[in-house]
Amino acid sequence: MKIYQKILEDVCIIIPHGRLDASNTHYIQKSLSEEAEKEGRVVMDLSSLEFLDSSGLGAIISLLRRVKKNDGDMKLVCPADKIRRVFELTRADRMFDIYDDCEVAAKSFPRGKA
Amino acid sequence: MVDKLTLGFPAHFKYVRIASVLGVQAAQFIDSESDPEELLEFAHAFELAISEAVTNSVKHQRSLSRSSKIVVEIEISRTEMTVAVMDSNPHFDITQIPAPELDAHPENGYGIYIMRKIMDRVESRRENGWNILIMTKKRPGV
Repeated sequence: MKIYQKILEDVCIIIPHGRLDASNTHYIQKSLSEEAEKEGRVVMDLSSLEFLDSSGLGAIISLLRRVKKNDGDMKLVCPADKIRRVFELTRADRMFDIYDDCEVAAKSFPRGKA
Repeated sequence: MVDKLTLGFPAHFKYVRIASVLGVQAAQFIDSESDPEELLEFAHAFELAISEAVTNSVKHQRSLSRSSKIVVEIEISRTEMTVAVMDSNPHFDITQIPAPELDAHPENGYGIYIMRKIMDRVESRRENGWNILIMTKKRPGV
């Protein structure tokens, strides 16, 4: 698994590639810099993810909770049915704003303080 | 006719995906006449269910420092596909596992719940010191 990051305006975009399961959830935990965690505007773009199971889902939920501790938010980009289904089965889709497009997700944050 | 595939490997998280991918490949291999979307959904269900089952087996092994063995058996009949995940962990009975509190959004504990949601049948039994978890799903178009 590889995780790419980019900054779009003041939003930190995290883009995991490959399969996310119990063997590599630690990459997700480490994917957010302290600075981005404090800034609190995060998008996780799952469009390059080939596979997600409940271990990977748990890591994503944990990251959301970290961001929310600082009054921030993490949005998801999740166009693939296969990945989205894991969120729907577990009702985790109710925790996130989910978008089909990364730019739209990044622009959805209120301007000014997160 | 029944086709049977068997995979044995040490109980380590790095092998979870090999079992999972074997499941998805086997599920797609079985039938070229089904609706491709249905077949893909069927294959993805096994990919996810096997990942959940094998992850549980790795997590609950007796000692993390000395890997035990996990065996995955895939059986394909004319009507259904069955996957058995076997480990020598302490006795594990899926009927004793409580369902996760979905609205509390826990960070773990979804495995058995997901398997039950996406398979037609999930059963477990203990045999000769092995836990055997059996997941069955009817083939698409049957």
